[in-house]
Amino acid sequence: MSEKNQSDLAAMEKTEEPDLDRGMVEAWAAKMISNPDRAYRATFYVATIFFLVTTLFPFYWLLMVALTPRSDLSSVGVLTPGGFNPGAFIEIFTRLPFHRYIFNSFLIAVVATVIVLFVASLAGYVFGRLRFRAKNVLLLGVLVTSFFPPAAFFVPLNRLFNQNIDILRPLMQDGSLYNTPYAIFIPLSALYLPLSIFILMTFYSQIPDGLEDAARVEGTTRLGALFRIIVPLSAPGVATAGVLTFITVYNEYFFSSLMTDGRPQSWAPMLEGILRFQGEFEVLFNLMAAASIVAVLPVAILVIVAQEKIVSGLTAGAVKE
Amino acid sequence: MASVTLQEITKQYEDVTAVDDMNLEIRDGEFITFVGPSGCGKSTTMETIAGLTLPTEGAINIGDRDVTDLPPKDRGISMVFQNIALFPHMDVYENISFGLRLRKYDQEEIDRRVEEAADVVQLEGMMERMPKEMSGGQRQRVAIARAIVREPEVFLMDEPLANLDAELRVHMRTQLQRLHRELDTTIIYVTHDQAQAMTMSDRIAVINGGVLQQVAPPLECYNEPANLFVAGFIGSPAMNFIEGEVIDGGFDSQYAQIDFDPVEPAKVFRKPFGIADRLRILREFPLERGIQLRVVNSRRQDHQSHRHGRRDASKQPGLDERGHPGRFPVAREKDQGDR
Repeated sequence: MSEKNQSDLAAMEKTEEPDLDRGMVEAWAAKMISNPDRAYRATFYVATIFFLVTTLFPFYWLLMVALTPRSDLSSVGVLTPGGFNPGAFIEIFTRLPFHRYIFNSFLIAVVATVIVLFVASLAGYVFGRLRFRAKNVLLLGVLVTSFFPPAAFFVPLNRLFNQNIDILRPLMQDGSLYNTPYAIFIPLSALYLPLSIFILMTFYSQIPDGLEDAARVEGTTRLGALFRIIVPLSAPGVATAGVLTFITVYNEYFFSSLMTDGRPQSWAPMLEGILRFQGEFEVLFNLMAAASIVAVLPVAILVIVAQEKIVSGLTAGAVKE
Repeated sequence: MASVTLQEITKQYEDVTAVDDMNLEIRDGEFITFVGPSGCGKSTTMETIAGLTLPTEGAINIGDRDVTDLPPKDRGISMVFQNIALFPHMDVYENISFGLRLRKYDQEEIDRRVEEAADVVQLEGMMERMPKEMSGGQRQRVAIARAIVREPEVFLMDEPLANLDAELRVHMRTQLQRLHRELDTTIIYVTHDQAQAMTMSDRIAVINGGVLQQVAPPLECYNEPANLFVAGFIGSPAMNFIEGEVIDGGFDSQYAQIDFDPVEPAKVFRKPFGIADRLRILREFPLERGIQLRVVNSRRQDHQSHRHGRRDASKQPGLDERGHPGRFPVAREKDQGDR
C-alpha cells in the first residue's frame, strides 16, 4: 500500500512540481499526507512514550530515593542513586509494623471490593435486564450520589461512627465503629458502588435473554442464573469493576485516615503507615520511598492476575445470539 | 409424562394483549405444535407454560399440579430454545449435566444419564468440546440432550430448528420424531414453519393475534379449516378466496358455480362469506366463468409449478389468453409474494 502511495507521490511530483527543492519538514509533511497511517503511528508512539515516561519515571526515581542512604539523600542524581542501601526495604518493617498497615489496607480493599461487586451485581442485573417503572429515575439517583464529593459525607458519617450504638455493643467493644475497619469500608463501598453498577449494568444487559431463561428452566432461580451464568460470562466487566474498586479503596486516604487514630492495631491504612515515617524532627524520605514501592506490590500482583482473567473471559465469552 | 392444561390464559403487556383467554388441553404423550404468523403469541404462550413469564390471568396445570405460580425449575419441564442458548463458558458435559448438578444428583447417576442422553442424540466423544467449537447441528443436539437428560414431564421446543440449514432441518425433524417415539413424552413445539407443523405433530394449534383459532390434527386443519384465517394460513401455496354466495344446493359467485350439498361433508362450504379452492382436493372444479390474471410471479417447487397473479379488475370475467378458464392457483391479493 505504501509502495503504491509512494509511486503515486513520485508520479505527482514529476508531473506537477518537477523542480521544487523541498525542505526537510516539507518533505516529511508530504509523506504524512500521502500516507496517513505513518502519521497515526508516529502520534501513537509519541503519546505512548510521553505517557509511559510521565508515569514510570517518578516510579524509577522513587526506587533511586529508596536505595539512597539517609545521609546521602541530597546527592540523589537524576538517573542514579546517591548510594546503595537496600536495607531500607527491611527497615520499614522493623521500625514500624508496616506489613500490618499493608494488611489493613489490603483487607479493607478486599472486603469493599467483594461488597461492591455483590451489591453492584444485583443492582446491575435489575437495571440492565428488567423493565420496571421509574427505572431511569432510580438510575439517575444512583448517578447523582456519585457526584457528591466524599467530604460532603464525612461529618455526618464521622459523628455516626463515633456514637455508641447499643445494638453493636455485643459485637464491638465499646459499641462504636470508630477505629474499626467497618468505619472505612462501609462508606467507601457505598461511594464507589455507582461506578460499578454502571459498568456491570452495561455488561449484564448484553447477555442474551435466552441464556438466562435456559438456566432458569434448567433449575436455577433468577439469582442463581445471575451468579452461575451472567456473572461468569461478564468476567471482563466484573474484573474491570473489581480492579477499579480495589485500587481506589486501597489507595484511599481521606476516609481511612479520619476514621481511625492512625495506629496499626486500629486498622489504619497503608498511606497512614507511609506518613508515619515522617517524624517530628526528620523526614525519612528513603523509608517513605521504600514503603511506597512495597505498597504498590499487592495492586500490581492483583492487576496481573486480573488481566489474565480479563483475557480468558474475553476469549471464552463468545456469546452467540 | 403429563398432560398440560391451560385455563383462560391471558397475558397482557402494557398496552398489548399477547395471549387472549386461551383454553387448551394437551394430552399426555402428545406432540402438539403451535403455529401462527410471527408475533401471534405462540412463543408467549409457551413461555407462560415454561414459567418464564407469568400470565396476567388464568391457570396452568401440568399433570395434576397447578403450576401457575411455580418458578420454571419446579415445573418438571425442559426447553429447547430458538437461539440454542448453550452456556458458552461450559463444555458439552457441563452443559448437559447443568440441571442434574444443580439438583445434587450423585456423580455416578449424572455420568450415566449424560451418557445416555448423548447417546440418543449421537454426541459420543464430544464431551470436552466447547459450544463455539461445534457446528450448528451439533449445538442443537447438545441443547436437546440437555433437555432430555432430566427426563422431564413436558418438553417445550421454541423454534428449535429455525437457525439450521435446510438439509439439517429435515434431518433434525426426523430425529425429533424418533425422539418423541422413544421417550413418549409430551412435546409442545412452536414454529412458524407449517411444513414442520404438518409433518411432525399429532395435533396443531393455530394461533393468531393471541387467540386460538383451531386445534386439530394437521390434515383436519388442512381439509376442514375452522375459519378463514386457518384456511389461508395452512397449506402452501395459500388458498384462494372467492367471494360469492351460498345458495340452495351449491355456491354461486362471479367466477364459478359449484353444486354441492351445503350440509355435508365439508363444513367450510357453509361459510356464507367465502369458498376455498381447497375444494379441488375433494373435487376438482373449473372456474368456468374464468378469471383474468396478470401473472406477477411464477416459480417451480418440487413437482409443481405455481403462478402468482393479480386479478385484473379492469377485465370482465372470461377466458384467459389461451382460451382456458383460469384454473391455476391464484394468490390472494394481499398475500402477494408472502408465500
